[in-house]
Parts: sequence; C-alpha cells; structure tokens
Amino acid sequence: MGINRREFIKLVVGGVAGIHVTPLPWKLTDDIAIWTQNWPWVPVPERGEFKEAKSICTLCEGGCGIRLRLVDKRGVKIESREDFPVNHGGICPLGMGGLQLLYNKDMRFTTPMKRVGPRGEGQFMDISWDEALDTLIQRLKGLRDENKSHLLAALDGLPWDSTESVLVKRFLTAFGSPNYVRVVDQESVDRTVNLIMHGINGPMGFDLENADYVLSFGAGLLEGWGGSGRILNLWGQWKTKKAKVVQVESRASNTASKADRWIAIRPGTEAALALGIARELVERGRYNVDFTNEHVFGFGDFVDQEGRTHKGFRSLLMEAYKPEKVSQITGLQVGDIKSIASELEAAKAPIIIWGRGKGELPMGVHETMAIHSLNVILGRIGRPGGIMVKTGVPLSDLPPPVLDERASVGLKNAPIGGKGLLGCTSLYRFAKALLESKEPLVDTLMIFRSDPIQSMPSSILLEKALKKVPFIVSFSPFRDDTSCYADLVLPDHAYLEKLQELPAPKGLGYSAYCISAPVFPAIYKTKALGDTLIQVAHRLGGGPKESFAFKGYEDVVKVRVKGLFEAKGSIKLGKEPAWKWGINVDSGLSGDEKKDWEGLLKSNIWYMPNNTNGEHLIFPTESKKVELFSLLLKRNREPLKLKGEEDLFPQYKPLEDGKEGLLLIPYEMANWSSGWTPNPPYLTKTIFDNILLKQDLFFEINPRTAKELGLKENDYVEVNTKLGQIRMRVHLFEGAMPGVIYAPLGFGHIGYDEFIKGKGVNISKVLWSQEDLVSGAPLWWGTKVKITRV
Amino acid sequence: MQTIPEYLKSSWRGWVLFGVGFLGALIVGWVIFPMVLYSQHPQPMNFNHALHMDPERVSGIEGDTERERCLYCHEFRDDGTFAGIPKLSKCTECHEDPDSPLGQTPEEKEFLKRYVANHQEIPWYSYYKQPDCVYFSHIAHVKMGNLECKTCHGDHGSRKVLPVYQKNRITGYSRNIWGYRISGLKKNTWDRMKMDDCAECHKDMGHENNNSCFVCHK
Repeated sequence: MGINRREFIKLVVGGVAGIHVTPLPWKLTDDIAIWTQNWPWVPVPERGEFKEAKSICTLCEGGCGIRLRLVDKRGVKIESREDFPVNHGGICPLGMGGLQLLYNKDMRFTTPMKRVGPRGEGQFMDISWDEALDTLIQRLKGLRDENKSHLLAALDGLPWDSTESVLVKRFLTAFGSPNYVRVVDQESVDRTVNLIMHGINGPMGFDLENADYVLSFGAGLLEGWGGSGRILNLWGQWKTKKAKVVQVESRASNTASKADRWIAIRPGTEAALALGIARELVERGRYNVDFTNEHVFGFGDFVDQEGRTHKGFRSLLMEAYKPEKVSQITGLQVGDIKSIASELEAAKAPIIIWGRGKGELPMGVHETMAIHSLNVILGRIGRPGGIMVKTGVPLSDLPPPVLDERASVGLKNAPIGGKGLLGCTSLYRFAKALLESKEPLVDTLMIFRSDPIQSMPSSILLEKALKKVPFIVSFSPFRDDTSCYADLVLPDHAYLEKLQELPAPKGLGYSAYCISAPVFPAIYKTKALGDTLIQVAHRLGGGPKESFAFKGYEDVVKVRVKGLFEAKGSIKLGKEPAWKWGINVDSGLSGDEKKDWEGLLKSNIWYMPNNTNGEHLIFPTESKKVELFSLLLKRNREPLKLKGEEDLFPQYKPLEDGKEGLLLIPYEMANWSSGWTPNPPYLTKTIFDNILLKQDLFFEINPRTAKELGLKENDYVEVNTKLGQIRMRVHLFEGAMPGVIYAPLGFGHIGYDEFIKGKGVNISKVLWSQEDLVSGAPLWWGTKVKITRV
Repeated sequence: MQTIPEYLKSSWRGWVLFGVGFLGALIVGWVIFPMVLYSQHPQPMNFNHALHMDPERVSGIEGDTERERCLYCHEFRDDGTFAGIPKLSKCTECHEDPDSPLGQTPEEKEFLKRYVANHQEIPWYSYYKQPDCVYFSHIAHVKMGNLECKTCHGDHGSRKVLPVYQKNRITGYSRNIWGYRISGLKKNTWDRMKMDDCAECHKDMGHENNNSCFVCHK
C-alpha cells in the first residue's frame, strides 16, 4: 500500500510538530549562537597564570624599558616602564606591537634554511642546524685552506660596541679578513664628527632633558629620532617647563606641525642656515667667547708651526655666509635667520640637534659639523642641556684575538672599499667597489641585523653588487628583504628570546648600558647569534678557536660587564631621574660578581649621571681642543680625497643631480618601521589611505605644483629618477613645499608576510646618491625626478 | 457487514502516519540528536578525586572543610586569579620522584612514567570551561560569596572515576555547560552552567545588579 500525497504531508507535519516538542531546535539555535562568537580563526591566548616581566626594547636603538604581560610563557602585551630612566613611561607604536614580530611565523625564519628559488624571491627550504653549520664551515674552511680568508666579508648592523658586534669583528679578524663593513647611518656620521671635532671615537649624546630651547635641523623628534619612547616623554616635559622647540624642515611633518615654530627651509640647505645663524651670532659678539678661546681650535685666524697663516672659522663665516646669501640658498627671509639667532641668544640652555627623519638616513659629515658648530661657538659642549661627547660605556675589553698564520696573511690585504675613520668600511663604498671590479672580490658575505636592500639609498646598486657575491649568509631572525638574497640562513633569536644588550642608547645625554635576560624561551628553532659564532669558530680550529675560547655568548657578556662594575655608575633605579646632573647615586653593587650580574639583569640598566667636575671637557684631538679646523681631516686629506682647505672646516655643500625636474625627498613615520625591524601588522592598519591604499603608495605634492603639472588627487604616475622608475599615486598636501615631492620610506618589501610584502614601492632603491668623501655615506637628498601621468 | 467509509479510512491512516512522524521526531530530538551532537573524549588518564580528598588516605591534603581541600590543588594564585586544573608542578609537590609511586595503582605508575618523568603537562579536558566571551571570577564567588564548590561543580570532588568528556561538535564546549539533560531542565544548581543559571542565582542571592551585561561580558 502506497502513501499518497495527503498522507505524506501528514507524516511530515507530524515530524515537524514532534520536533518542536524536543530540545533539538532550541538547543541548535543556542549552539549556533555560541558558535558565531567563537570563530576558530580568531586567536585567543591560552589561559594561564598572569605574569609580568621587565625588559628592554631593542627593536630600535632607543633603549626603552618595557613591561611584558605574560600568560604562562606567552607574551600578550607590551607596555612601557615608568621606572626606567631612558623613557620614563614613553613608548612608540612599534614597541607596543613587537609581539607580532615574535609569534608571526611568516615573518620569521623558523629554522635554518637554504635558498631554493632565484635570489630575491625569498624561496627557502628548511634544513637542520647540523646541515646549516656544516655548509658554512665547509665553505669557510675552504677559504682558509686556500689562503683566501680575505674573500670573506661581514656586514654588521648590530648596535655599536654591543657584544655581538664585537664578536663579529673579532671573528673576522681571527679568520683573517679585513672586510668589516657597516651601513653608514646618522649614528656613524655622528661618531665620525665626534672623532673629527672632539677626538672621541664614541657616541654623541644630546642632553635634551635639561635643554630649554631645542633648535632641530630636520630631526624627526616625533617620527622616531633618538628613540621614540624617550622623546615622546620629553615632549610632554618640554611643554610643562615651557621649553621651545623650533623645527627646521621643508615638510610639515608631525614634528614641524607640533613644534613652537616651524622654519620651512629648502631641503638640503640646513647647513647653510646653521652657518648663517653662526655668523649672525659672531657678528653680534653673542657667542661664548670664553669657551671658544679656551676650548676651540680654528675659530680665529691662526699661524701654523711652519709659519703659514690660515683663515679661521670666523673669517669663513664672515665671507661666505652673509645673511642675504644664506637667504638665497635656503629660501628663508633674512629676518628668520636673525630672529633664530636672537632666540638662541636669549635661551639659557639651548641645544642644536640634527638628523633627517628618524636619523637612520645619513647626513653629510661637513653639514653635520656645520650644524654642530653652533653648539661649539655657544659653548654648549659638556654643559647641562647641551651636547655630551662620550667615549661610550666602560665595558671591559676582551683579550686580543689570536692571529694564526693564515689570518695574518689574509689581514695583509686592503679592505674592499677602503677603511673609514671609524675603522670599518662603508657599505656604499663596498658595493661600489664590487660593482667596479672585474675580478670577484668576495666569496662569502655574512649579514648581521641589517636590511640595506630595503633601507640604503640607491640600494639598486647593492642589488647588482650582490649578484657578484657567490655565497651570502644571513643571520637574521626575520625574513627581511636582504635575507631574500641569502643562500643560507642561520637564524638568530628575535628580541626578548635572547640575552639582549644596548650599549649607549641612541642620543642619550648620559652614559647608559641596557641589558635584559631572555623573557621567554625561543619560539622556533633559532640559535643566539653569539653562540653560533662561537660554535663556528670552534669548529674552524686554529686562531679562530683560540680567539673564541668562551663557553657561550652569555659568558662573553659577563666578562665585558665587569668593567661597568668597576666604574662609578649605578645599577639601582633611584628616585632621582638619571639625567639630573651631579646627583649622588647609590651604585647598588655588592662587590659579588654573581649578585651584581643578577642585579644588573633585574634593573636592566647600568647608568652614570653626568657630573659637574669638568671631566668631559678633555678633548683628545691633536690640538687638545674642539676642532673647527680639523687636523685629523688634514692628516687624512689624501686618502679621503679632500680638496681645498675649506674641506677641513664645517661647511655647506650643495647637492643636486640636475636642475630639471622636481626634488624627491623621502620621509619617515613613527608608526612605520623603515629600517631593519619589520612592521607588525597592527601598524599596517594605522596607515592612512592617502599614504598607502591596497598596494599603491602615494607621494605628497603641493597643490600648486600639482596644478602646474596637471596632476589631481589619486592620479597614477610614473616617477623616474636616474636609477629607475617607480609607479605611485598623487596626494595633494599643503604641507609639501612647492617643487618637492615627498614619499614615505619602508614600503615595497620583497620579504616578510602578506601584511607587508608588496605593499607600495621601495623609494630607497631609486634614490640618487653621491658619496660623502669623509664617511662614505650615500648622500641622498638631491634626487631629481620626472613625473609622467599614466 | 458495515464497512468503514473511504474518507474515514484515509483519515485514520493519515493520523497514524502523523503519529509515526511525531514519534520519529521525538526519537530523533530526544535520543539521536544528543548522541550526534556530542563527541566522546576519555580523559588522558584517570584521577581519583575521592581518594585525594580523603586526608586519612592521602597525607598532605590540607584543609578542614571540603572546600579548603578542593582549594589545596585547585588553588588561587597570589594575584587572586584561579589556577583551574592544576599544572603538573602541583602534582609533583607530592609525586616528585617518577621512580617511587606513592600508591599501588597502575594509573599512578603510568602517570609518573608518562608525565612526571618527561616533565610534560597532562592534556586534561576541562568540563567547566566557559566561552571566551565570559568573564568569571572564582575568588568573588568562593571567598566573597562564600559559595561551596559543589554549588556549581556538584559531586565532582567525590568521584572515583573521571567521566568521559563530551564535547559539543558545534560550539566546541563541554556538555556540562548545557547540562547532561538535553531538555535543559535542572533539579540541582550544578546541573547547568548557562547564563540564565548565573542570573537566577544572582537574583536569589540578592545580587541582581550583577546581572548587568558588562559584569561578565567585558
């Protein structure tokens, strides 16, 4: 018997009626509601014990103290530390987003890797640590066996004087290679100027905490200059104590917009303005006569030992930097120059600072000297609120490396690209030497914490130069752009996973050394760089093995910090801020090495406040004074290819690659990393649509200039420099100087993950540049571009 | 002989089929549905709560009341947060040596071999884990509210054998939240852990203010 339609409906209706007197529909509705609140792709941290750890941030070299919130062993939040003398509760967006750099496996090298695709594509294959170390050691052994140890080179981007950097240099020396290469950034330029003018091979410090008038020549104080955590905190302090900030910059950056006064200067002419102001002060007789008489060499005209009369700095100022001429060069009114001079005169503790943007891109040595000469003639050296010239922190030296026969032979070779005044080769010179040579100059290049393919001006040259290097080894924990060119990767731990240290935080006015023990164990199969180097040296045997007779990286750090314990400073965080002069600090030291080491790791800092006994006014230059006429440059005139005597003085040198076209000036932002440190995806969300929209990067242009060129907002254009072409879009911005276009740095990555890779274009790559004769830095602010609408 | 008219015959058959559909749906809704909805997961090893709660059999379990004895292992951390299921480090306060079992059971030997010797945490299933959008403070209920553990967790502390964990295939949460009766009806306070149950108790205890949304959904 069949069921007819009517009966079937009754069956179904029965079923429907029945199901409503069961829990099924109600329970299902409830479950589905809960399911919608628990999308499996929304990350939820594991539950566990809340803990707090104190550490330091080493994503940049600002030396900020940070506080981590942990659930069990996993970090879930980074905040700033108010008890830390460097940043006093200040922190930057990058610092807060740092955890995303650790746990994001697409951004990290999670294990040793070898390249499988073409160079620059970033295609790698996982290998074991044994295989990776074997590959490297076999190659290095081969070089030494053939007495070709000089074919090894190392590019070191680690913080100056850090134990890791010392080990890299030591490894190279013990191996027998003179090719120790560094990227010349503003930190290197400042050190060079410190050496030339003050005779000190160490960092320069800016006692901004005690200044009441800050004249900034382009320093992006709110863009990340000198460590954002410190400066953001200081900005508040300045407002409270009514200190004045004057920003000299062509673009209405955040700093310029928030400063008390903005001087919109023609880009690249800051040195002329500084010298114009200096001339005005000298003419009015309102410079520090006592200081220049007692502590400055080359201010007035002088007669040398051979009886020849030389013009002094004062005469040069009087002749070459008359207000009308400076006005013509800088595009400013004569009244502006005079009024800044008057403000400087009136200020009790003025400081003159410099650096373009974050201070990662270098300025010229002569122009830095020119701006700093204002501090010199005002006697603002070694005074509260002035410039501190420091030899660095008193870390103990390691015993000298042992040089075996092979190392001695290798070290006899000249360094590729020549050695600079600071004892290292500029990467820019190194790359140019590789390009110019027909012979292969390098067999193996090791790269440490540096991403010059992304950040070095004219990096397209480096890209070509790297093609001439048969084997590249990266030690980066991150899949940065330069590592995409590596053949082998031996990944270091990322920050917070390892013993990290920072001797001399960037621009800090007093001596400080920051250090932190690992906050949690390594997340991936990485190895501390220091330990890797020690292991490689041991396996190479001979001189390298003897030079690296350490148990591990931590032991080397322990040896070095002994020097701190013997010095006068403190490891105890006191109530008085460390930047206060002449305070008596409790050292916090017990005399017991183990206890003091633990104490240092607990406070994360050793520091020494400035005192008032005048110690800092000893200048180990040839003249024993601050040199405005540099005897060091005079001695090195030939190797540095310096021309006339004016090259021994601070001076303004124009820089342009042609008269036609618009000037391209890159800019940086506090919420976007443009150096080696990658960007957390959080920061990608903070970028406005008129900077980056999907994959398109915008440049800023003044509406007037845009109108002349027939460009409208959002237009697509091709930007041509001498080095290449990039495609960008137009953003009209009143804060852009007419005739100049401004493009952000740190985009167009070829490495990292989907949140960064391929977003925008890399401006650095096509920036035209010219070599700085003294430092070997690429000088980049004269790039002329032609724009074509597409 | 009187015959049943066709229209009545059809109606009768129809009602039977209606009943079949109705009954079938009842079976599906009450019997098959809960069987399909929950997947069964035995715990990685057994834990005898009854044994561990008995100070006469297990020395070292401190506490005069049952609640204090629960809290000996399911403790509050120094910051007042609740540790929940104890970590291995709590177990090894007593079972410290993997080679010296404290009792006779094969389970303990297996526990020492697999977890203590390898310093590996036991991957327990948690019967009472609330969704992530719910904030619940044990200390507010146990210390300030003076609630007994069993008010919410029933006789869990006196069980010799850990029940099989039943996981809701849709939500991923434990069956204990909805309760073992698929009807959702409850006899005891510990039978269910849904929002309404929280709210009902707050109301009964005179804390109706705590039923504001953001007290729990922060």
